[in-house]
Parts: sequence; C-alpha cells; structure tokens
Amino acid sequence: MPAKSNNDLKTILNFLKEHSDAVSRNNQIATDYLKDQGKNPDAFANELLKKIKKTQLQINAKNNVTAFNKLSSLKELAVQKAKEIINSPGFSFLDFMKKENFSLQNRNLEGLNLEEIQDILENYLFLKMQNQNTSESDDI
Amino acid sequence: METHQPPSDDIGWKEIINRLNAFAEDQIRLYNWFRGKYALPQGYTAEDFTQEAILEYLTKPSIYNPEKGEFLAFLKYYILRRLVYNLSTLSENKKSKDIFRLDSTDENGVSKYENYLPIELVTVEEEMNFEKITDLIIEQLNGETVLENIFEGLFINHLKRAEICKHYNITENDYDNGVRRLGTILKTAKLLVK
Repeated sequence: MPAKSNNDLKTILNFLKEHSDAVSRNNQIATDYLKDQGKNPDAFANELLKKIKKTQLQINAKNNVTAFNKLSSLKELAVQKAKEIINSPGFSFLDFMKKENFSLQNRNLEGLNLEEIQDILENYLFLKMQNQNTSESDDI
Repeated sequence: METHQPPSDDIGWKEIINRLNAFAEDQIRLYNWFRGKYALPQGYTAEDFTQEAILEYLTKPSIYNPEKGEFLAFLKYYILRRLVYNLSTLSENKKSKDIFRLDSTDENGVSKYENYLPIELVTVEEEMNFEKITDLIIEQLNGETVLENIFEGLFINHLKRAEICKHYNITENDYDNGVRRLGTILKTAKLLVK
C-alpha cells in the first residue's frame, strides 16, 4: 500500500475518532446524539445500571465467600497447631507465653485446665495468623 | 468534565454509560459507512459493546490504572476497541484487514487508535478518493473560519484537539461543534464521491 494513501487513511481515521469523541463529550451531548439516532438512551442506561449493581453484588458476595473460606481454613490450622504444641514433649504453657511474649491479664494461670489452655492457644494462634495474613495482603 | 475515576454513584454511572454508548454508536455508524456493504459481524450493536465493556471492567477492576488516563478513555480505547477488533477479525469476517496492526507504534503507548477500526483495503482504495473528499469539504466550508481552522488543523497539519484550540484560539466547545458539523459534511462528501 502506498505511503500516501496510508497517511490519508490515518487522517480520516483520526477525524472519525475526533467525531466520536465530540458526540460523547458530556452527558447531555451524548444523550441528545443517541436520541437523534433513534435510540432510547435512558431506558438502556437504567437497564445497564441494574446489571452493574447485580454484578457488583455478585462479585462482593464471591469475595466474601473467599474471605470466609480463608478464615475457616486458618481457624482449622490454628486448632491443629494448638494441639501439636500442647502435645509436644515437655510442653509448658508458661514457657510458651514467655517465648511468644504474650500475657494474659487478670487470669489465674495456675487454675487453667488443659481445655482452657487449648482454647487460649487456638485463639492466640488464629489471631496471629490473621495478622500475618493481613500484612501479607497489604504488601501486595 | 472529564472522569478520572470509576463512578461511585448512579448519576456517575449513567453518564459513563451514555457517553460510552454514544461513542460506540458513532464508531459503528462510521465503521459501517466506511465499509460500505459490509456490516459489523453478528449484528452487534453499540449497546452490546457498551455493556460488555463495562461488565468486563467490573469483573476485574484492577485492569484500570488511573495514572494512565481518565476512566472513560480507558473504556473507549482499551476495552471497547479490543472488543470490536476481536469481533472484526473473527474467521467469518476474514475480509476485514487491520492494515495498521503491525506498524502501530505509539511512543506514549496511549491511543493506538488505528488498531481499533479495521478497514478493508479494497473498500478504501477503490471507493475512497482522499483528494476528492477534501476538495468537496473545502467547497462546503463556505468561508466559516472555525470550520476552516479545524479542517486545516486536522487534515493538513495533523494537530491534536488541544493544539488546534490553542493555535487557532477557539474554545473546546466550538471545536466539538465544528467537528460534528465537519462530520456531516464529510459524510455528504463521501456519498458524493461514490
């Protein structure tokens, strides 16, 4: 194809783009233009708006389910890990607290039974994992 | 009145819908006009493209980067253009050929517009006579300075909108009106040539 004709075509194409930009410059101009073309822009916009909202709801719901599943699997992991820690040889709750540097306020540590310790550990590990998870997501 | 962010309310969305719809409507109308007897394949309408472009964005909002330009331009030139391009290169529409596909080298990486509108070579070479078209436009300018300025800026000096407004000292509103009127003239000119 000769270069000249190619440039002519580009010029025309550029003009067509300018034209389409001009007829869509603002809401009023765009609506008037569509009506001139025999369209019903308001009806279409309202229909599409409904679909947009529906799609946004579906996407939000999907994201919530994903987040929920993620939390559920974290919780399972925390329960499992708590069991492993308690069942490890020579486990001492006091040593574990010192190592992890966390404290329980207003709790009589002496009076805790194994079930309560397991409960505390699960919650502690779950929170810790959630925090890690959040800061990882923030990094992305 | 440019929209740099995706809309956050109904009014904002309606404006985006109307403006994208008008853009697509005009593009398809011009596209069919330039391609003569070849209509856009599969009977797609501007409304189909508008809806598909917006829903595609919603399913993956992260594809829009506000730093690269306004939201509407992203929908127009990034998503909508690709949807039209993909359709026009389907096997059932083999006759269309995108002559700029390989040499579209926009340094800014912004508006590789030529990709958007595939033109059939035969249609262009046999049916479009650029010189005749421009002659006919000039005849119909009737000494209207604004139209003459815009025509000179776009067709001869290849300037952009902002450059034309500044160089010839015309408002953006007058520019838009002028471009729309030139469109009417150009359409007549094309029909006269044929």
